[in-house]
Amino acid sequence: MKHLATILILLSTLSLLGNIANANPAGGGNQAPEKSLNSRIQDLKKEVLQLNRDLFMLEEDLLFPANTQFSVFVSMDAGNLFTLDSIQLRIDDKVVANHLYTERELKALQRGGVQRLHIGNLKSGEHELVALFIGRGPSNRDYRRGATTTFNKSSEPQFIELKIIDNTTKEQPDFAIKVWE
Amino acid sequence: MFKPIPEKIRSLSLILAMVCCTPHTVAETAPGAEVNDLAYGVSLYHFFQDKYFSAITELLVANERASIKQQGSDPQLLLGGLYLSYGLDNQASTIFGELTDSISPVISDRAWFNLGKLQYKRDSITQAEAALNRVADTLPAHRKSERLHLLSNIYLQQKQPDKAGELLASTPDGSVWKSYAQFNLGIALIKQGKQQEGISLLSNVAEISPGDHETAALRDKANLAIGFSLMKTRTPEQAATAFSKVRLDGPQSNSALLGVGWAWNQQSLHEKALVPWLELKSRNPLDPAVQESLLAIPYSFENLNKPRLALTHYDIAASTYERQLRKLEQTTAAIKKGELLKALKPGNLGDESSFSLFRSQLPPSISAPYLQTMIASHSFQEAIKNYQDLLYLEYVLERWNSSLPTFTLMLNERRDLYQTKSPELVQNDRLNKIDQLTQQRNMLATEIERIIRTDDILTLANEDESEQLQLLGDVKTRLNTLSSHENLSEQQDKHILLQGILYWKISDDAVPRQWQLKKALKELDNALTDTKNTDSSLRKTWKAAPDSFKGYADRINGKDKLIVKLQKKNKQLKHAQEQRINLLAINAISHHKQRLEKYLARARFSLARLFDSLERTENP
Repeated sequence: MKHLATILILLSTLSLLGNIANANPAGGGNQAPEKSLNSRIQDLKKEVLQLNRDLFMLEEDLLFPANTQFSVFVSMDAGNLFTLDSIQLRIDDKVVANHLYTERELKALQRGGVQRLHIGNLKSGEHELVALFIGRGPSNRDYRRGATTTFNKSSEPQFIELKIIDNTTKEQPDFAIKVWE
Repeated sequence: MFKPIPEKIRSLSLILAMVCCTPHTVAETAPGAEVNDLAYGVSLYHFFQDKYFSAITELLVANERASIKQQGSDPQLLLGGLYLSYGLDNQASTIFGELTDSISPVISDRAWFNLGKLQYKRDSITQAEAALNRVADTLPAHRKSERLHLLSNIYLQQKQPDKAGELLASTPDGSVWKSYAQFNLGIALIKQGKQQEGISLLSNVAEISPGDHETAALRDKANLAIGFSLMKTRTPEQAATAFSKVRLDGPQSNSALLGVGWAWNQQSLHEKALVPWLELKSRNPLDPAVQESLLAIPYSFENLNKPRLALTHYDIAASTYERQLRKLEQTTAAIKKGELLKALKPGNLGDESSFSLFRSQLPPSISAPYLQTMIASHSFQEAIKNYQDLLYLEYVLERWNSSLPTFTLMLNERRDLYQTKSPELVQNDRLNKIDQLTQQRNMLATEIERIIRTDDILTLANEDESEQLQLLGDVKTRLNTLSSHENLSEQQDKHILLQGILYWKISDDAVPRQWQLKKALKELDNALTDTKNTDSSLRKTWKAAPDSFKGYADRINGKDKLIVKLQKKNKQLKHAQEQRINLLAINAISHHKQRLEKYLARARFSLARLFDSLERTENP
């Protein structure tokens, strides 16, 4: 009897060992229908992506025509000397954007991503842009800095990039504004 | 029906050998994150947040608008990687295939590498091997090691462990990939009966410094594999040592505790075996190791000749299994009612990045604790990912569905405004005055040119000076009239002097005044040019407006029907995917149930057997 119990218990160990490493490329079972379903989902994804692209462009063209379109982007070089919490953007003394950053967004910026902070319309002529950067600077101290520029909006779309750069010489962050031609 | 112990342990090793450990990775995209075009940077921003749909859309739009000009092949490589991450394998394959012809070895290497990974994922082992062998040497260090790891896995699947071993030797020390390769090769060797070599490789992994969660988990798995392999060769002392190296708070600790109990059991150290098993008893009863320990404990008491204690513990085991089985019934009912699907749905469907949070662990739900083993399986991961992708597509389609009427309305309003304003524009005098203004400007220019050419100083007089000149002119007329009656020579001299002073004053300031005139003319020219440009732009826009309206209308036209069609398709696929997920979950629950029923039967059988035995002992 004891021997039987031993065998019974040891047999059950089989199922247990599935836990040793859970990277078992299972699949199995009903492969054919799953494949077919996956492939149908792929087709749908492709179709929706195309539709989304077309409607995204249509929306942009309708809401922000090229001759008045104005976009502001944010980028970060390293970002070791400044941890960005938020940005306030003013155009001609009017607040057009306020953005509070999540950890995920901050990491994406630090890895080289560029955020489209604002897209809107501006008439041709001279305008003033003021960006207020709020966060934590060296030694984890509260840090608020502003950057400003004036630019001449033409009848072409206007792109402006707010750049947060680590100035290792001064051990301070720099905030630059690039007006894309 | 039942196998003897050695055979049993060999089966354990076979299971181990089937396990191919691979860390989570993503496609190798751009060589660096240097961003020269904003649209490329924006796509990267989405990609780094796992927002593949948005990142792909950004690149597709940039492609249509030709707005990325200075990134070379980076955007294509990124798009291929995004397609791969988004589950569009065919699109990814096409892009990588095209990029393999790149004249840049950096790009072609990355393309071959990604293509190899894609083929490996599709189980096209031969093609994967061929693609990975086309990679030269421009990959970054961690990708080089990953490539060797993939090739090593391929050779193991092709039953060529020697070739895998050669690759292992060329993988740099300290790379996590080397540890994974050593683990997989070690298991493969044990499976081939080369236990010593296999354990030797596993020992390297078992000794790695557990720097992070990933390496610590791999180290635990290696120790566990060594332990069970040693159990197979009936060397339980060494097996116990290996089991004891597994962290007590790690995910493998329950298996290790169970294993160490069996190692002592094999040495007939039944009392000692009870220590880890009793510890297991207090742990999560959903864990198979804990469930098995409930039977192992009374089994040890039997070995210790304590049948009454054994009886008590078999009874505890049976009650626990019955309780668990009731819970499984409730869980199955909850899954059928859609509880799991509800839990998989993020609160904010519009936040694409929130979906990925549920892919590494299930959100809290009744069924979640029973599905932990299943969640790591490829089929379940794919099923969840596809389901959540469909949820996001549903959101996207609904968003466009509600926006489209607004676009149409906006367009109609613009068209109406155009039709209302058009007659006004044609009749607007100010807009038709440009020719007249140009003529006036030309006359002014001619006059300025004459003043400068003829040195007509007096024309440059300002308002005061002009009045003074006028006054002096009147005085002269009156002097001429009066001079015939009386001597006015003194006044005439004074008039000449004043006229001379005024002339001198104007003439002294003539050059700056001429410059001012030229400047004013230039400003007038600029203003006129701006006005002409604005007028031309306005006329052009106005003229093009009807075509533009038509262009927009064409772009909107038919989209409503397409959206409805895609929504319908999405609904069908979502329903099918929901059924698939529920089926996988219920199957997993059923697997738990079968095991528990088996354990329950054994517990009940042992209870009956022990009662019977005690009865006979007490009432011979």
